[in-house]
Amino acid sequence: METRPASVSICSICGEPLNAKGDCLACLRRTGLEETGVEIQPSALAFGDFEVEQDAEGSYRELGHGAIGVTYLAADKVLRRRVALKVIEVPPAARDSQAVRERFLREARAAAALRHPNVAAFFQFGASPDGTRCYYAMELIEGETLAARVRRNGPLDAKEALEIGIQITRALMAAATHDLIHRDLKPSNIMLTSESEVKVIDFGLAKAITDAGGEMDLTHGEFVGTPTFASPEQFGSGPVDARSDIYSLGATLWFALTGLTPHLGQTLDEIRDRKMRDDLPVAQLVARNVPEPVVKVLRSTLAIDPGERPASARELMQALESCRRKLTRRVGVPYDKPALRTQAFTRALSDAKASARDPERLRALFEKAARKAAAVPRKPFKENWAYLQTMLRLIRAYYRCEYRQVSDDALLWIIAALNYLVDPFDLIPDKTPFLGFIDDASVVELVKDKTRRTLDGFMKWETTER
Amino acid sequence: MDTRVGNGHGQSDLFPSTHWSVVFAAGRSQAEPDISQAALEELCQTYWAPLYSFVRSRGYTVHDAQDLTQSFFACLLEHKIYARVDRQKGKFRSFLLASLKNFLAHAADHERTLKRGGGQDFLPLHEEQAKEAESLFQTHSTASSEDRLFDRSWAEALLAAGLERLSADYKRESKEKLFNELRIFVAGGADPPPTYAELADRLGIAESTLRSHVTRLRARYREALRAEVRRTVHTETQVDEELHELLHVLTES
Repeated sequence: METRPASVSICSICGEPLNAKGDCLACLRRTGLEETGVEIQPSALAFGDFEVEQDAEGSYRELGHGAIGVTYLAADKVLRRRVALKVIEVPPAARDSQAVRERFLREARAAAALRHPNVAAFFQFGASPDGTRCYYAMELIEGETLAARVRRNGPLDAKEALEIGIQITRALMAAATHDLIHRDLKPSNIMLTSESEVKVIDFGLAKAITDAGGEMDLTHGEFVGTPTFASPEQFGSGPVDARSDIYSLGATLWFALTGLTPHLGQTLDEIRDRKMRDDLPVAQLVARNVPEPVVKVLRSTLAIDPGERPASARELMQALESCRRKLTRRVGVPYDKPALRTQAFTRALSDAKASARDPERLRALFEKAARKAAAVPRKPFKENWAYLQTMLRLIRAYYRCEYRQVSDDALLWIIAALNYLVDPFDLIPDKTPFLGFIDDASVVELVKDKTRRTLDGFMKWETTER
Repeated sequence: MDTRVGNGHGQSDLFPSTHWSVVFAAGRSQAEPDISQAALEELCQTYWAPLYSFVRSRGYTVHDAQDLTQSFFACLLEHKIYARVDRQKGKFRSFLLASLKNFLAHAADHERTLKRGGGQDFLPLHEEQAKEAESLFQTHSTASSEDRLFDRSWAEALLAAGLERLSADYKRESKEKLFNELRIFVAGGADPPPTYAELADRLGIAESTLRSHVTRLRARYREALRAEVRRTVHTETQVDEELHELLHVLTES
């Protein structure tokens, strides 16, 4: 039996014959291999002062796409800068609601008031004339999301993840002062810049959506937020407050450290049930050699009961910083306990007496301190860095006989501080901001107390008399 | 002929193995007959049409060509032809064509086997699939050479497989309706495409959102196509080469 081809249909777009399934292989070829595809007529897409950029094909350039809208790369035609423009579609039922517009506006104002280095700045809020869409113009962050970083490079090490966590927590602390809750904190809402800065994006938007939910269904019945990173209370188990963001931050750090999320599931119900029922799969962290202090913090942030989590971003920050100190001590520094470190300073003070009398030892100490100071990034430890620089200048001026008003006692304390800072920490890689090690409060305050008057006098002399 | 409904790409959301690894997995037929059977089925689904076209171009009737193509896959597994090939050196496409040519060189023996009733009907062959392959052959039977016919059929099989993979992905994401509405923007069709405004209205979304969906769909199709090709070659460079070659095959007059 010979099978004859069935009557051939023609593609309405290009006139080529269709295959048996009704698809046009010529169109598929153009789309898949020639990248021209079915003709799309480019037309400008503008919202207020912002015009969405298009690629060579005329397609709008998307930065992201989520449950609550599409984020485009757009140009601010007035200020001539590029922005990230989030466009949210307003369902027909809510388009004429003045109350909904007011709520959006209120959240937009709150988000605009939040100015912080770790939060993408909010520029403008508006709505299309027909009320079908509203838009938020935000600072365009050059970089990649935490999600993309993990996909590209794999899970982060504990110190890197912790640093990111600390910067996010700073953003949450700033948000707390404006009573803002993110509600959709997740790896794809965390931007990492090439300068190792962390910027949280979309602050306040999810809250705006859910606040409006009483009168409109912006999400078409879908969950607002991202289930795997959402807190149990976002599933309806209780009121949502700042501790919800703390939970999401914990899940985000978990992802950064493992490339996984603590509770997986195929459906909303399944994820919710697992969050409420299952123990945290700590084995995932153990498998990645995540240090115990970090595991402990993650356990607390991911507690089902908000009451068992850190009560505020500030409290979380304390936990994370403590964690960082513990990790830092692990880097080959033989001072595991504050008491020992204080002893180390006592030894440094004793050595300072010898150094103060020995020009060669003093010069060697200066050179080491200067090298360290040059290698230290100023930004994270600006105050301590300035403090060290001042001490160096003072000693230099003292030994050049330019500034002699230094008591022997203060001089010894200053030299001891330099000794303490420089000598023991030769073990530490240069990139580690060594001034972060004067985090032993007793030592810091002791040195500052003993030298403050001397340093104040020196700074005054420097600015007025020199 | 088994007329079981469905095809191997219905499971395209998983696609756990490359075609090469499917072939190798199929080699473990004695130890794991289920795996080998599944592997063989997947092979048939994607490469059946180009191989059938090639056999048909040698002058065999529809039924003989179907049987020979089926027998070829059986022979491929029974004699573990793939085990003699260095995967690093060649494309899977070239390997299959060379193997088929060798197989057909001994076609008289195979025909005798078939006539004695020795042919195995262990491969489910869908009627639709067989019809499609024959249609493909009829369309391209005037190709300059049988090799070119094979390459062209192969390229078109890949275009279709990429679309199937994409369709399965959207289905898995519960976006089957969206995919079906937008399919025309990737794969054309008999009916004129709707305007963006019409379709946006029908879907209840903004036109800008619709355009974004279309853009994403097209990008995902390109990636699906690359993924399909990636399963038949070894390196990313070979993916680019293969795509370039297939485009050339499809566009030459």
